[in-house]
Amino acid sequence: MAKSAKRPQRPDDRTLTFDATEEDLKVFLEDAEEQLELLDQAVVRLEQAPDSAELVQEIFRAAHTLKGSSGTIGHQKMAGLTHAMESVLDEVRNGRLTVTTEVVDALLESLDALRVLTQEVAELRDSGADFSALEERLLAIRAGGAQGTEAPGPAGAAPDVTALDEAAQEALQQAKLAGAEPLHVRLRLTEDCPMPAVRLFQAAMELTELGQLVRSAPSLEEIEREQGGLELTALLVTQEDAERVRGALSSILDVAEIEVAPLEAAAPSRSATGAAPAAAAPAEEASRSAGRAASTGKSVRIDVERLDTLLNLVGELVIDRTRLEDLASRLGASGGVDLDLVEAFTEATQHLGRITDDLQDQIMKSRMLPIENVFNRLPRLVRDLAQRFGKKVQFTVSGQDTELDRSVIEEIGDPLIHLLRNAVDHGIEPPEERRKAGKPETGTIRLSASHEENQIVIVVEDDGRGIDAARVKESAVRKGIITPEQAERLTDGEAVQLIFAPGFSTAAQVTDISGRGVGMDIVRTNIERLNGSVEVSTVPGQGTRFVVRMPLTLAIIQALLVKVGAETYAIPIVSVTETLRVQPQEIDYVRGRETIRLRGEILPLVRLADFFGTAVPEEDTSLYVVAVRLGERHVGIVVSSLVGEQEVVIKSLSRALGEVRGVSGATILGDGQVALIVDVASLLNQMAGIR
Amino acid sequence: MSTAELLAQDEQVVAFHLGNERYGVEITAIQEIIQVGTVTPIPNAPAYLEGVTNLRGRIIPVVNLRHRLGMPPAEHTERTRIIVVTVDGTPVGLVVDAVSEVMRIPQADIEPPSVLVTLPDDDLVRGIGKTPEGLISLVNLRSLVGGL
Repeated sequence: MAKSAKRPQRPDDRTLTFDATEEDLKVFLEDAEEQLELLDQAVVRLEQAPDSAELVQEIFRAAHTLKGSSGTIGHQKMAGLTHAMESVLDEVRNGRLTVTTEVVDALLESLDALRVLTQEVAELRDSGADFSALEERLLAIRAGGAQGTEAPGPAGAAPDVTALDEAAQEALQQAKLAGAEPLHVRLRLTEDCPMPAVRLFQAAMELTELGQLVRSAPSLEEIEREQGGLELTALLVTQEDAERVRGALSSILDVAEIEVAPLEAAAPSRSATGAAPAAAAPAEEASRSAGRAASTGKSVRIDVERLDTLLNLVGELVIDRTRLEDLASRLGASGGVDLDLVEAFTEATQHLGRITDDLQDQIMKSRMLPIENVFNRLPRLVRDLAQRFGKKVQFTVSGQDTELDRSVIEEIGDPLIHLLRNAVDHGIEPPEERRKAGKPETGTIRLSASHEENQIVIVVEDDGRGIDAARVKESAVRKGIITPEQAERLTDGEAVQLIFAPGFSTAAQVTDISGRGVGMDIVRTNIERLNGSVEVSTVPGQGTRFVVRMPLTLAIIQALLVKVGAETYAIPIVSVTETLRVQPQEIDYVRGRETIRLRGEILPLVRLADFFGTAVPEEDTSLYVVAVRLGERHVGIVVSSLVGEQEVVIKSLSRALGEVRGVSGATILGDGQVALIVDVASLLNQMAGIR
Repeated sequence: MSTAELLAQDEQVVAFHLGNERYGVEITAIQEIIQVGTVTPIPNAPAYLEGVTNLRGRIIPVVNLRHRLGMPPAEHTERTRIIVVTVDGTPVGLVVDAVSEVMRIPQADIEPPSVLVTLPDDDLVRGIGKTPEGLISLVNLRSLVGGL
């Protein structure tokens, strides 16, 4: 089926075309992404558990699927590479090749290469990348594996013929339907057999004549290359009975022993030879596919836009409910109306309210995804980093199934990656140092997620050297972040928080990973921008722990509603540290800027009316100040009055408007009015710029 | 001549008033016509942007067409409407003094705006329709809202 990708006429044009419809390519890309992610994780896990037959099987299956699908669309480079991977995995699966770092490295590199090749499909452009060296490396690894087992011991290399791929499974199924019996055949040649390959080939041919040879070990190819050894194990689907098969095989010269038995009955003898139980693999296979069928039967893919629309509509319902409640109370107060009727009306309104709440809840839930979507790519990252920095790291992940809104999922990856990079680079000590400190050479980094009220809590924890408060102080003083006197007063716990200060970095040398100008201050700012928070705690010599808290969704926030003149604005509550009422005479002017003193600290003020150009009546007798904080920066926002705290649904301003300075979005209030949401980060940046 | 051919030669427009001038917008671009609700002003935006309003949970910008076309401002009245049009897939509201009718103008009766030698140097109007009731300026939606 593999058709070649058509080359363009002009040599400089690197456009690729595939023999597939746009829709086919889309399906291919989605599937490839899924398989690659699965492979990434499985290969990293394989390094930890090189003996897991199940894992090898899983990897093999995914590689095989990729080979098939890339062949179908005609991506030959991809099909070639997956084939090479598959042949390595086949050796591993048959126990002829041990999983070493070399194998894992080659497999991981292949996955990276496959990503490049998948990208070619997405962009319909030839990347120009050449992976033939990698392909050769894989084939060399495979050849190494095959050589190492030229003389398999009697019990050592019993091939797992029952670990069947999907094609074989299907063949089996069809054969059974046709009334044929699967037989397990094992044949052993005498030790002094002069031409074992020829005898095995003869045997294989006999079997082919008797029925369908679903699988054999060694394979026909291997026998032809004389890599067969003295034993042949095969799975044969045939109408003939076991005796007839035995008879046919016994006519071959130099045969020492023959075993022919129905597949199920063969199980004990196979487990005796050290392979996985025969019946287990097909059963597992069956339950897997059953599981797949069940999950596809219960879920559908929905366009996110559709969910957003649903959420909008529910928002409208909420507004109408508020109106109805208002009407009900006015009706009750107006008099002359049947009170029973008013009561019934109120009751119906309340019921509608509850349903609306539930509906909103359910729609929010339908936008939730397990955090797995982010966590999945992290083991690979940690492994690569550990290798690069010469660290030994055991990485454990828990709470992958914790759910949160897809909007948060999209944003949380980068801060997490940065924290993990820091943990590997700065947290975990080199093996030697750990040994000297009496710790195990392998450090541990733990990543976990859990729900806590309306937040998701993500913990990144390492058992490394911890953060040295004294060094942090010293460095902060040197960089002019704090004065020596201030340093004196800081407790160790407070000093450690300085790592979040802008311009701070404890790394003695700037590495290309942790020190790419992105400090912890950016990590914190980014998390806070998403209405989250991050805290650090550390014990010198024992490790560091970062706790990141994020809202479950970015679609709804808790906001403080304020009035400026006639307009209502929403300020995200996470940024708000406090609100205060200020008399005009309390305001000081520092270089033309209004400030107030708040517990000894100077708080610069910004009048929202000036910032937004909102019309306000001339003289306000007293002012309200909303103190906000982002990172290390504080500012007091001056407003006309405070309305109250409320949960608001964030909506984007129209696409036609683009970015609006100082506004992060809008929300619709209970009376249907639009209120703008103040973008505290942009406000602070503007302030800094103005100054 | 078949109906289809007739249709192809006619342009259907919704006519509206701004002061004592008549304007038209193609009916295919119109999503709906609504009464003016609360409009929230947007800071630091072009002056002709009256603000944003809530259209069934969706936030849409509202352009004051008088301001956009350089006409003197006017108070909203009972007859003031917002014509919601879709421009490049995005809904945008246009505030007009009043909506009068849907009319059919034969292509042959539409002149390019260049017939008015004194027309300001812009492309806010894409053509002038000649109708029995008088002239009607057909607005160019992309230019009207493109600068937002």
